[in-house]
Amino acid sequence: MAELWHIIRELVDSSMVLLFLAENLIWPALLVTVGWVGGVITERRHMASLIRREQEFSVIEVSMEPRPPAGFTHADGVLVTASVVLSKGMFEALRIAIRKLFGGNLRGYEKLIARARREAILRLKEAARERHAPLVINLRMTTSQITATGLPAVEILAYGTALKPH
Amino acid sequence: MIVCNIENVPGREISELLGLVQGSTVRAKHVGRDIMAGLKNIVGGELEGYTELLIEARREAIERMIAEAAAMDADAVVNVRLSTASVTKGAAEILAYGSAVKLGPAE
Repeated sequence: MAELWHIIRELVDSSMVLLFLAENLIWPALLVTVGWVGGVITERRHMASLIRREQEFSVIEVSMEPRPPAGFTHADGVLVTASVVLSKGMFEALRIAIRKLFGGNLRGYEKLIARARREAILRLKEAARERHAPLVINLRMTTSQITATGLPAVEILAYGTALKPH
Repeated sequence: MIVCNIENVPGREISELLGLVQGSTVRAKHVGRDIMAGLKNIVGGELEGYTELLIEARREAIERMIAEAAAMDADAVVNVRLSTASVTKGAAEILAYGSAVKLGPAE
C-alpha cells in the first residue's frame, strides 16, 4: 500500500515537473521559434519590396546639399517628412541579448536599422512624388528608440525640402 | 506659409528675421494599438500603429509651429528641424522648430 502511494506521488511530481517545463521553457521556446520563422519571412518580403520600389523611385533624387542646384533656384520648396517604426522581433531580441554578453557588432540590429533607413528614404521619395517634386535636398535623418511594447523598436525619420520647378 | 528645412526660400530674399518658432506634442498610444504591436513584436517588422501615431504627432507639432509663426505675421519658416524623444514608457515627444522670417517681394 505504501509502495502504491509512493508511485502515485512520483507520478504527480513528474507531471508537475512537466507542467513547470511547459510553462517556463516550452512556451517561450515556441514564441522564439515562431518569431524566428516569422522574422525571416518578414525580412525577405521587406527586402524584395525595397528592391522593387527603389527601382521605381530611382527617378527622384535625394541629396544632402543644402542649396538648390542650377535649374531649381526658383523652385517651390516644401518640407517633406517620412518615417517608419520597425520592431526587431523576439528572436533577434534574444540574439542581441546574448551578443551583448560578449560585445561586438549587433549584426541583427544593423540589418534592421539599414532596412528602416531604406524604407524611410523610399517613403520620402513617395511624398516628393505626390507633390510632383523630382528632387529632395538637405536630407536629415534621425533615429529614436520606441520602448513602449517591452521589446525595443526603432523609429527612423527622414526629412528634407522637396523642390518643384514652376 | 512656406515651410522648408533649407536656409533660404528658393528665389526669395529674406527681408526680416522674426525669431525662433517651435511646436511640440507628447503623445501616447492607446491600449488596442499596444496589443497589436505586442503581437507584431514577436515576429518583428513594421509597427504600423506606431508609425501612424508618430506621423500624426509630427503633423500636429509642425502645425503648432506654423501657428506660432502666423501669430508673428511671418511669411515662411526656414531651417526647420525635427526631433523625437521617448519621454516615458509609451509616450513620445515630437519637437519641430525653425526660424520665422519675412520675405521680400518675389523676383
